[in-house]
Amino acid sequence: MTSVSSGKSFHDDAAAALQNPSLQAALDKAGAGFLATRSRAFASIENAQALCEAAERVRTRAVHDMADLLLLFEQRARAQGVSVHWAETAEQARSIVLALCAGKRRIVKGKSMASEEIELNEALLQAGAEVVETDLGEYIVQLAEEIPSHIIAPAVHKTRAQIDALFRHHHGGRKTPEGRVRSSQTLVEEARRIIRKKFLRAEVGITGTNMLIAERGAALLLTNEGNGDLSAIMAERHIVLAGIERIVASEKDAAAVLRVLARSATGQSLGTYVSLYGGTGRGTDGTEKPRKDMHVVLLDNGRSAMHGGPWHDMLRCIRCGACLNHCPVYTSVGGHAYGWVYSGPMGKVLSPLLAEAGTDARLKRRVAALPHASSFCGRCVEVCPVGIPLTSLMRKLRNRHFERPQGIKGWKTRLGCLGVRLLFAHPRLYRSLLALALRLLKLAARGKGHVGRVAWLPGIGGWTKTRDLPVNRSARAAITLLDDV
Amino acid sequence: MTERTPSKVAVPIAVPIAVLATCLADALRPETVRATCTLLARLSSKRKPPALPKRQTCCGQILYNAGDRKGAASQALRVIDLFEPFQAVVVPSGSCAGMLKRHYPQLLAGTPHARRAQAFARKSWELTEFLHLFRPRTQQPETQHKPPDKSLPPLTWHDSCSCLRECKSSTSCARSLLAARGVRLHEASEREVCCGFGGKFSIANSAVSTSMADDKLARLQQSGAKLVASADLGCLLHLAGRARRRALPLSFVHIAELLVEQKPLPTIGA
Ligand code: SF4
Repeated sequence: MTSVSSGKSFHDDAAAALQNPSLQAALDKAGAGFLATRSRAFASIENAQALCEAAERVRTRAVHDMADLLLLFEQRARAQGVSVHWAETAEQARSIVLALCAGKRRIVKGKSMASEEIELNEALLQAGAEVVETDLGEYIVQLAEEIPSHIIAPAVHKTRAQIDALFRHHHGGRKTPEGRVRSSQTLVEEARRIIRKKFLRAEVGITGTNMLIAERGAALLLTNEGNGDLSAIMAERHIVLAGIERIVASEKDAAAVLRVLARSATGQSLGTYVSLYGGTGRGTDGTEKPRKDMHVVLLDNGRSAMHGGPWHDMLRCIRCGACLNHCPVYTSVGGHAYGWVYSGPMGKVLSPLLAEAGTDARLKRRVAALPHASSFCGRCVEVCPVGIPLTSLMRKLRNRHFERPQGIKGWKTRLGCLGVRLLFAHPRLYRSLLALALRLLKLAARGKGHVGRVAWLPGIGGWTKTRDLPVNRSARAAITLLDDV
Repeated sequence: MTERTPSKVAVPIAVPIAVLATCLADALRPETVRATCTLLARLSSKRKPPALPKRQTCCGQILYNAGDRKGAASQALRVIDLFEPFQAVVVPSGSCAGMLKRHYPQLLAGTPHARRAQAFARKSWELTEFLHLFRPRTQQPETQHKPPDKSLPPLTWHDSCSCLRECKSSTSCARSLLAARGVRLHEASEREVCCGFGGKFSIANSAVSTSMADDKLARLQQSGAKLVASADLGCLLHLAGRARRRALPLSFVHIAELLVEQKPLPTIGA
């Protein structure tokens, strides 16, 4: 059901995305808004830097102690009557959830990137259940049979007109006259009416979580629409799906992360709803009562393999989406070009690593090239609130490709580099070849009738397709030319 | 590494300095290298031009970004061997200076050359940082700026990502050098956004790179400028090449050539 992407590569999908006018309109509209609200949110507090550093420390410690904290979480959660399930792979996680949903037909879901990662909806639908996404953005992409294009704003790639048309198609009702698009408020109300009914009839609610709090044995969820709470509360059974790196030690630690999470994500100081789900809840009479049936599925799917290795830092990620919003590549092409649920700079690191743990060979190939699609401008590193060195991690992934080349492109890069190494090791050979190349370049420029530039050149077609190449008129390298300065 | 903030001292330089031309300027824009040498010669008490070692090729960034860490490390060592005898290495590019200052120490960490790499990083300079720190006394304090140079077209400044994020003082050094040269900048918006060059990225991801260039060019034009200056030739060739293809009324110049005050002003690809 979830169409990952149409093309074979980031390259093709990105090029197509740039030619897609409604996508470009949607991205333009969203882009500036995200940046402005975020910078206002951080500018309005005095100690922004200190808050980010505190969150980074908390996350660093939590990731370091991940194994112990997860065991503590399990123990504390079980003590309250919550079932904890461990899933090493996406496959295992799917079968655990399927087993928990056996015999149930009506399922509501809060936003969960982990569930997108394991393609849970598809599995549930195949098992004959009805699954409804209840986060508005997720609901929209579900209707459109797409995957989220942003970890915080899943439907950011859609224009209001597209959403209107989608709702008309699925919800029925009268056609609006040509060229008229209903207001956002009308659209939201319509979706809310429909989703409310689903909540009332739901048998199972599935949510993600922002943090698992080890000492409390509880899961924390931050939402703006309140749909997370309704998903968790209305149905008999509540399943929380959590990547194992979501763990933090204590409520105090969770608070340190919360102070930057919403600010960094949407520019809000906190987010509308912060909910904590454990095995008990306070009844109307004020006493602690056991909550209904709650399950936590702990998903590894490649995460523990990252622990302690070259990609360890990536586990700190709090999924705020700031690196996406500030990435000039992401804001040009949107999330779908990245081929999977994680996009932008964090996706360029995370997707290849997680896909490796899975069995989907096509996906693995598709996302393997992502670390190469960066100009290394470094803005993501600058904005990441928990200090993840995203560009260094991408570079390390490139190193690994170089060491173990795959496909024609991989070998081409490797051979190219070996050739360059050879030239660097022999400066005189480098000089002679450069002199020859410069003479040829000048000839090429003259051939086109423009002495100052080359409009086409084999080998660098990627450049000359869209840009001229200003040439060196003297056709001599500076080092040779200035020899006698 | 901590950032060196340029101090207010001006010392006429007597120390032997060398220029790392960068492979791009060496091959495609010798004028930039010549201007760099002229500017540095003017700083020296005897107008002595800096050394331009003949055996130099490239800082190795091309290998580093392609994932060839080993190749980049041996090139780093080669550059250090060649330039180590000098007291300062000046580079007319934020990106290559960033390579020397930030990435060499990382590349050679844990090898017998780790300390050499760190010492080398400390004496490597992006051109505008160096020019600003050692600018002649006549250009200080800042108030003694030249009157506006009316011969120049309206000018804007493009901060390269490496100047912004790896040689962090460059952006203010360049602006203050320009002010001293009598340039009043028409600042563009969203200056912290990448122009899309990124070396091999500009070829391998041509479509995205070009779209980023178009976004950048639009903002540069909105500033009202007709001339764009920068400290990085990579960005300039990319933007100039794109502007030329689209026949936009913008020209481009490397800051070294602008500061030399040669007339008529040499622009890229003109
Ligand atoms: S990598 Fe950093 S900026 Fe990007 S989503 Fe994760 S925490 Fe946020």
